[in-house]
Amino acid sequence: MTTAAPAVGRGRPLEGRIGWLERTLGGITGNIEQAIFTEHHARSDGWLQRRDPRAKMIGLLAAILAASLTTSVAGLALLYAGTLAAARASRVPFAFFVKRVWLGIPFFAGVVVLPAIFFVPGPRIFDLALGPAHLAPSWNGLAGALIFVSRVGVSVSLAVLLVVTTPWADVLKSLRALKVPQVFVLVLSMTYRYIFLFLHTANGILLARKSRVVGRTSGGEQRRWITGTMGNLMSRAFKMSNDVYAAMLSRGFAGEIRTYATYRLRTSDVAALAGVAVVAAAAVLVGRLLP
Amino acid sequence: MHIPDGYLAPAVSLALAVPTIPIWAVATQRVKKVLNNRTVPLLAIFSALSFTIMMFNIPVPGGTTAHGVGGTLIAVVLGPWAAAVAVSTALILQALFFGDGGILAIFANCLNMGIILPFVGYATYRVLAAGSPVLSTRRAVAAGIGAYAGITVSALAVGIELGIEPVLFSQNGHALYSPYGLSEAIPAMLAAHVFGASIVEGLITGLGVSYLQRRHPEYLTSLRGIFAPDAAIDGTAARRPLWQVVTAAAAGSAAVLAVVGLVEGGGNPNRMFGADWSRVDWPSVATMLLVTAVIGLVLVPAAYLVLPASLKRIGAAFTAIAVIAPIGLIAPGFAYGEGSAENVKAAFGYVPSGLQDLSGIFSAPLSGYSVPLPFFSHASAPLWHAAVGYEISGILGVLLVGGAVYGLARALRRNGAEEVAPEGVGA
Amino acid sequence: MTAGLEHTVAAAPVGPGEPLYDLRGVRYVYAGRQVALDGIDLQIWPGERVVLLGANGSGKSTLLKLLDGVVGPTDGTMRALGRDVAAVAQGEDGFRFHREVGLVFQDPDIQLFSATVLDDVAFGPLQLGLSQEEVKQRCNEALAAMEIAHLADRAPFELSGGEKKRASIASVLSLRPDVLLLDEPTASLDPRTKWLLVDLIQRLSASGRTLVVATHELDIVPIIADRVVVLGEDRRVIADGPPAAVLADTALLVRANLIHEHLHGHGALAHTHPHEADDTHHGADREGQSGNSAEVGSRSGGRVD
Repeated sequence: MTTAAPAVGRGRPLEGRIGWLERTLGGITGNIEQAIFTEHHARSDGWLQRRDPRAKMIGLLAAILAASLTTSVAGLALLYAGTLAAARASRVPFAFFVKRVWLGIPFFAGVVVLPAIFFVPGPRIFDLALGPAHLAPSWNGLAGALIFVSRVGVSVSLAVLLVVTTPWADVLKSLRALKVPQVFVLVLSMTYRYIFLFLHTANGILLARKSRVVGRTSGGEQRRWITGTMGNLMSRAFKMSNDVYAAMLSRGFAGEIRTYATYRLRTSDVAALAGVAVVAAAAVLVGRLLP
Repeated sequence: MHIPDGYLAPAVSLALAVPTIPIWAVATQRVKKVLNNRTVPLLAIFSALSFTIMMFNIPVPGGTTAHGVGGTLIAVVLGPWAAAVAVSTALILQALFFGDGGILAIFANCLNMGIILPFVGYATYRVLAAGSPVLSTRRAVAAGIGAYAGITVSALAVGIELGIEPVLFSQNGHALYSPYGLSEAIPAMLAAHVFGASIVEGLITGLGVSYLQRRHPEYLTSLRGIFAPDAAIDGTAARRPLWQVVTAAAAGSAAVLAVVGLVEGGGNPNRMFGADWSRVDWPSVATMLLVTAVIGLVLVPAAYLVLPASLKRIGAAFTAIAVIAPIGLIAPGFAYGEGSAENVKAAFGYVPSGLQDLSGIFSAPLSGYSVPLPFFSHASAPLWHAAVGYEISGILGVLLVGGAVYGLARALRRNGAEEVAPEGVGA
Repeated sequence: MTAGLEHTVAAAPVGPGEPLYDLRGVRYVYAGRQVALDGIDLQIWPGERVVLLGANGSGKSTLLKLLDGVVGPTDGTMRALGRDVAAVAQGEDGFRFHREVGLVFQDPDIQLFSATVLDDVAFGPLQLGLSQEEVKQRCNEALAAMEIAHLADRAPFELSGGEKKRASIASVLSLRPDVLLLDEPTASLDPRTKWLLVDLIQRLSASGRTLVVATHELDIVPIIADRVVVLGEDRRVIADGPPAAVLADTALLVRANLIHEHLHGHGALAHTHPHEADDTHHGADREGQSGNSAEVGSRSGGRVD
């Protein structure tokens, strides 16, 4: 996979000195910081934070599905308005929420969709002749690009909103409400738990290397070192899985998984869910009525 | 390769759950049978490992970095079923928490990277390594080639999923979801992987397995006893020169490409990748390649020498990409001969749709342009004339976009240094 | 004192005059190659407070895992609470056994495997099949006993070292075990947290619980133990007796690699005296970082082959 970031933002050409090491470290600390940031906001007292996580999860799925189904920009705008209102009521830092999504989207969806504006057939907005070639964006191409970019943006906004208003443990428990098998939920929760351990370990290993490596090293040496590090992490993973199994066994684990549920669906949760359903249905219908 | 929400129509997203969910169920059962109660901690920790491996940037020749998935590496050690569960779990976490990949697109992403990737990788590995000793170099190489094949096929799957969107879902002539058709999405995804991400995945897997052979051979033997009892044969390590490994990898990727091309061409070798190769004028192609090679030999080192230190490697890489760009002219049905402007635009327009590929950016603004002189664009001009024309426009494009990006980045760096938001929530 | 600490021990599961643990010639070989314990003979009686003393790599953690029945001996016979440990480790009657015996692993990152502290504390009681009400009560009790009720909804990665340690202990206390096994409870903690834990351990044992604590920190031994069992570098018991007698035997402690002869200069004079080698400053820190598990840490530690 090539780096999933916008090539311009993180690419090597402009940051001659930022190598793989810094970039990996940056990614790792970014993830850790984000988790801490998220847990912080997930515990503040806002409208979405007070909702039952199961209602939140189902509402989110309904909204994303609506964003996927609608065929009009108006429908997407309606959904986005609802998302912004919910974010506001949940005390999500507004600038963060809007910027985070819309600064990233043009890079991904926008760059991807740009050429399509020019080669989709149909009436042209203008036709700029440059010698034998024509710079001629089409209305159809533009409409397609607009709806595509808004759809991606709204979907990402909704996912971000869920994440920053719900502690991870609650996201997991609400998966149970969606009938995801218990064993998957347990694996997910444990994975999340150990990701941070691995990220911290990897961070330590990378910093230790950074502090000792002076000057340039060859690409081959770097790749060998990285695979060595991965092998090392893998061997820790084996040991750790044995030890964690012992720790589970020690507390009576016998293959069957039982969990502790403390949620109760309140009237306000049901009302909120109904509200989301109305907005989602409206968004889809708007597309059908006003194409 | 992580497909975000909005790229796929909901019908496609949910349709992909139809193969994915039963495979998960079978995988969980298979793993449970072997591991019994150990399933949960082992899978969880290997998912966490897979997640961490996806974080590692690897320096790739040419100055950029890429990161791997590690699906084949896990499949080699734990078997493909366990790898499927481990990688899928990591992907679900990325979607639900780190915003990498969409939520409705979870099934698509898990099918591509969590199921197709480890199974293709593992199958290739098993075929290539059949009967060789556990500690032989052949096994490490087989794992590397398997990983290469796995991620390439996985990219092909992404291309197909994205490519069928405009075919199935359009309204009033405009696309509702990902706008590129099969003929653009598939080559774009393949190009972005065959020459980049797949190499990385192959490298980390091959080197990873050889690391395990040297340091922890027990993971390749004792665990094999648990997961795939039939495959363990002991042996001793042997070193093999790099050129053999590289040749084998090149042969493997050529084989994969050939198979993919044949599949696209409906089994007819004259219609590889769906193009009509019998209409190609091979002598003029040879002339064009020769001219291209000469230009490349002059321009790439020149670029390396002329550019400032911080831009040397990337600049040279871009020049090389611009120089080899006209090779696309060989493929009939794209440009030469039929010469329709729409086709040319499509041929060049698809490069940027190599969603995350750096190399895509340059050709977009000049898509389909050739130098407006009869020498280059005259209908009866020899192929190499057109090639030189493309090269000139390609290099111009590189310079323009490179300059613009450089200027923009400088401006941004000066203004926007204070805003530091936590990473990863966005797309 | 809080409810969690004031636990009344049920009637001992062994007859009068019978030891709680009876190990005869127990050997444990790790991964078919690495000898972790080599011929241990040991009896532990109900209500005893035992410290297992030994340098890194002497097999303390392995012995605790055997006492907890999560692994069985490779050779020799071992009975615990009237049951055969080899059978318990195979899963036979493990359920009842783990109601009575609780082990706090050295590495809190191993012990705390759930998404939140509360989930971890509830894990044991839930596996016992208790009702939600009962689970809730036990969790509150254990969290209160460790003074971490405010951390219930936190994720383990957000906790400090001391908080993680307390959460680890709470996750075992909620099982209300009669026998409590602690592996290096005070390793890599700051002095304040360390002595707070020592105080808690003292209170935990006050109600008649059997307590086995593995450590290499000599300063806490007299406070928490009635009896000290020293494991040598040959992975056997090399001493067994009251703390005062064992700690006074310098030659023994040097032999167990717990202290080493140290050359000191005082002005013009130089003399040698014994010095604690593996105290909190270096030994414990090193183990805490490189470890992620007791085994890795102890094997990479000062082993003499």
